[in-house]
Amino acid sequence: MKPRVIPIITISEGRVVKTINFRDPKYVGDVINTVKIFSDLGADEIIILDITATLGKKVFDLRLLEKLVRFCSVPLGVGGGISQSAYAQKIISIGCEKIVINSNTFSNPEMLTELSSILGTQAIVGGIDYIKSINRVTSHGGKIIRDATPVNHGKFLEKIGVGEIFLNNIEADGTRKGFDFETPRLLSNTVEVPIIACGGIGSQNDITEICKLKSLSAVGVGSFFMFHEDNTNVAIHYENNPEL
Amino acid sequence: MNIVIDYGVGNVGSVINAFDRIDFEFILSNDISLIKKATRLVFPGVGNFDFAIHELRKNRLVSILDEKINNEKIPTLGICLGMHLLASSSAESNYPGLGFLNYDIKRLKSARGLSVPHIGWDYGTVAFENSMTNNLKSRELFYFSHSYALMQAEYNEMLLTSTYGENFVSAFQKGNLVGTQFHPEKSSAAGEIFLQNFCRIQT
Repeated sequence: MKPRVIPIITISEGRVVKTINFRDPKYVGDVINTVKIFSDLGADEIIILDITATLGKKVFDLRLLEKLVRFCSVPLGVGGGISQSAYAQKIISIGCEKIVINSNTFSNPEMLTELSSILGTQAIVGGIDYIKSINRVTSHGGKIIRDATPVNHGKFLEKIGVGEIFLNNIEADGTRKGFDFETPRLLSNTVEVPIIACGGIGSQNDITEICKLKSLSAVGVGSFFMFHEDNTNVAIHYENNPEL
Repeated sequence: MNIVIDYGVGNVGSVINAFDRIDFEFILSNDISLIKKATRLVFPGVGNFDFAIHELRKNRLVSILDEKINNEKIPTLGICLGMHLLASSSAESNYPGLGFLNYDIKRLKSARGLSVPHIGWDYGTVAFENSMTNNLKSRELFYFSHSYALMQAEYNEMLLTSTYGENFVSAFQKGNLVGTQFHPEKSSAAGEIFLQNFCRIQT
């Protein structure tokens, strides 16, 4: 099957931003416009994450979501501050295919089990933000380092009912270098669910190489699709991986 | 009146928006009096079988659906879970399905190197041509997101087939019943062609 190439749109306060190592959010552009561009360019799927929602004890803005789904003709995953089951169901009914839950996999794993029994496992994505150098998982946008490795937490996520795992390498985030091949491979040896790996993509060639990996079903791309080569000027673009 | 059946779950917004993009108006409802007037029905996907079938029964929709689908024979589209609900049973649940389609839904086998759920863009190959396959190429990429599937149907019912470890039916038509394992509402141009073909079925 064709591995998916997924633009990861990170937002804060209703605007698209991009971080480096999950810090220093830099303004990229308008949310609806960014979603529309990726959808029109034929992105395999889009994931949009409110990266300050959990820390600010807020939730993803449903009014914004209602507007942007009209411009999105490809599958859409949404994450950020989803701590209530009813709220997650609302997100799906507005017109999204998946919800991404990270911090609440620690504080409220029962919610994920409940959601997968209502929405089906394929709609529930468990997020893992990890620090490779210390082999630990984090929550709250990388602010809390948890006593779990990506592999252990991945196993736990599968057990509580997620249908997919979104692996994000914090040390590679926004750097456009250092994609971690090892952690996704280790995880794919332990879990049955598909894995989206993200962090450190710097070129189309990187994407092609990663897509050749049997262990990955999708690759998430942030900065590389958002900026020009210099990593400062905004130039939203998208290219599919070649047919395999 | 075109109606998307509301069973409390599902990416109904995506389905209604997709029909809107091809200029067909669908409304979301679980109201028996509205469903009575329906001329076209859609069972949306994304959801758990138990939960959805329970909602349909709780809202007492089964007999009106039977009237519309089996007696009036209005064109009806089941997407993913929506298609599974039309079948006799699904391995996802101990509860029976609606039984409008005399098949059982099975779980995808998890083979080496193949993760389940099957999520992503995969090929549907035309296996039986009719008005529902109009304007589709012999192989098209569609978006899938599922752990269960219809593995086999009669030759003249399997419109499109796909392979994920094993073969399964990615689109079928049996009389007024059309079903897709993929999500046409999220399958870009090919998906829109399929939805258009469904909207053109004469009533």
